[in-house]
Amino acid sequence: MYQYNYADQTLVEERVAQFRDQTERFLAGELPEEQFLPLRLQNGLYIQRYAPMLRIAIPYGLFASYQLRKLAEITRKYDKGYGHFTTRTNIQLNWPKLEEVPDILAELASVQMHAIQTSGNCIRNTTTDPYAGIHQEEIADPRPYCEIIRQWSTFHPEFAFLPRKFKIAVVGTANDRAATQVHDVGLHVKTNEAGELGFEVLVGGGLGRTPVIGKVINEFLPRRHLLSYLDAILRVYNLHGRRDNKYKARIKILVDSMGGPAFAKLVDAEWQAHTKDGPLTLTDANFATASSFFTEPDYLTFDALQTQSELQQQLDGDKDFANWYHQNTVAHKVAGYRAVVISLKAGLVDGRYVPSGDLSESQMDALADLADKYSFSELRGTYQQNLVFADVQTNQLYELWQQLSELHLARANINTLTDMIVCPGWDYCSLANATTHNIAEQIEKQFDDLDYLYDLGEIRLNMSGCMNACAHHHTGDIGILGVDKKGEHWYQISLGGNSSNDAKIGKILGKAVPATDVAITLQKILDVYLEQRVSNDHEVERFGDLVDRVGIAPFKEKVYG
Amino acid sequence: MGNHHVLNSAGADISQNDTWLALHTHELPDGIALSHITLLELLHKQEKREIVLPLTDLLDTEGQLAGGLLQEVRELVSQHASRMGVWVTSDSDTEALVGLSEFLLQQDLIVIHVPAFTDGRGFSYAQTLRHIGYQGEIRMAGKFGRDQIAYLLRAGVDSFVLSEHDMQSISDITQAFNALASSYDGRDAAALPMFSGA
Repeated sequence: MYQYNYADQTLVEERVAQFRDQTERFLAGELPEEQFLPLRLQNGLYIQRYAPMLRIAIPYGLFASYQLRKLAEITRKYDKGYGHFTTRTNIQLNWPKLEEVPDILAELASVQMHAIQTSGNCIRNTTTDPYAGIHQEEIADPRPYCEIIRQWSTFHPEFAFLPRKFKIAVVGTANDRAATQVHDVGLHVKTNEAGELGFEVLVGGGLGRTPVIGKVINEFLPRRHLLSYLDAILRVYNLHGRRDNKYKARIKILVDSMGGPAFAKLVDAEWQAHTKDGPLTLTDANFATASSFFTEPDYLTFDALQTQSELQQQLDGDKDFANWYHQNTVAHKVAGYRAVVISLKAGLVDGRYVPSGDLSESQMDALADLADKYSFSELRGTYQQNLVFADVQTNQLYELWQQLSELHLARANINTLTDMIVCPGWDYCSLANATTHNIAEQIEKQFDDLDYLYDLGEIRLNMSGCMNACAHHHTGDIGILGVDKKGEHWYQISLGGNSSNDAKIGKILGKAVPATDVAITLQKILDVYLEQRVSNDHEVERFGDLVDRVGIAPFKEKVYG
Repeated sequence: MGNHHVLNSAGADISQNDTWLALHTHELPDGIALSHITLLELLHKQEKREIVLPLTDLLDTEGQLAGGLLQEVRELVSQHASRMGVWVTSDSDTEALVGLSEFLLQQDLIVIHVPAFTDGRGFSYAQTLRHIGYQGEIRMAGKFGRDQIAYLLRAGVDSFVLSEHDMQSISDITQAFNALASSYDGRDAAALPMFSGA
């Protein structure tokens, strides 16, 4: 992974000094609230209902065991001993003290981490595929491009006070595992007929109050133009994006109001006139340098037959392990290795609900040790709020599974109904209209039978506590949105969303249901699915496919009829 | 007016030597220049002065430099001015700016007035002016904050009109000019940490 050099390290240290000064001036009453607000946001600091919240960046989801140990230490020393992983592969602390934040940032800087631009109306953390670099069908590893974008966007002087936030996602495979179509900019690595590498460029996707799927504005941008073209997109947005209404300020509104082709034309004019082929142009040497940080680890070679037969014995001998293997491990391009998804959806542990994406300090320490032992000391965060060990030897899966199980990190529920994306909700977020954890707990209690979940197959359930849609409820097969009705929390359900290649916004089922009825309503919806799905010997119709085929009418009838 | 200071790109207070005057109009925002002058006063002055005009008032409805009476006024001011500049607001249309590049390139000073701290269009105005080849002085005025100065410098701004309040602080104002000293100007890929060989 990328290692900071002297310049990067100096930058994060300068940032800590700058923010310390700003915090002191704010506390001394010198820096007005309306100026401190955007400044603290660009350092990841929110003021929430009960306490501040600090969002720490994990650039494109990739981090190392020593960084996780530091996070564990920070949550012990400055917070309540846990952190929360988000859909954009950052980690949030829910209980820091405002005056201690500069100290936390200094500790983070000591392990090449920071909270720079994790919030605010600037270019945020770039995200990518958690299986970058290990997928057989990958066109090119997206991480070198992510790192180039990270360095370009960090402290970009011109784009720190945009109309609204700006999120970029990059994928290197045809299969989109980073929800690129609902990002402000989505970049798909591809090659042209001459075999040259470049990107298909999408712009103007986003969720929130006005969910929109991104539009292709450039079918093939040669990779050397990556930065100059992004520069042009950002300048057009900065100058033309609406600033009169916060809810209409995202680039998606600008692109929609003028249409994709007109927006593309404006970008092209800006690009051709000023920056194309200028100093922002990247060279092959630049790409070689960037790629040199993402080389393959020292993989071992194995006797395939022996590995397979040992694995088979373990699978045959232990049903729980077999479930985990099938649900929570992913194919790897190198024989004898698999990627392991560490479920941060433990559900109920000793009767207590563990929120989606939460990891305790002791789990962090233990996981750091396991990463050292089993996966070249690296970890990755995923869009679905889980973690990944990308390079685990197949012959070590069984012992890794046993150790993860002891940590409650081996729940074999990846891609099932309980692999829910859930935002922190009303208790932790001052934007939220409704609580989410109590509803997730209710769902966990209703659907606690793993075999039933496996029978349901792949279902994405996403639940947000408000319209801002941090948990991407619009793109869940099932989406749940918390709403406030005269001080009571109600939940609106939508069906048929998707964040991958077939990205689409779910359709609202009907009027919201009261908090007490969410799980029972889901049960009715799932009953319809089980009744109506079509299957043959080879495959079973997935939930999302059924909704596509029959629409939401039968579900509506069952729930409200 | 009054109670403002002009700082140069090094953070030094150059108010004593700054003799720019904003031409008084109905909609002249506070702090475009340290002082202002009416057209009548200017015409009565013996010596020439340095005058900043409101760009939008010089344009016709098409966004072009207006002819007729407005052009005559502009020429009259120019006869009484030793140096000329214009001020623009973030509401000015940047396409118009690019369309007026020939006129803008002749200016000695372009003041960008920021209506709100969070309105970042001024950063792109400055950058756009540099892109069209403007080499003269770009000055920031209005509601930008001292914590934006380091970024504004990198976006191409040369000087800043600051209020008395912004000048007074527990920390030295020059800190604002030196913040994030190692960061780059966004214009050159070779300056990124991994390519800069640092």
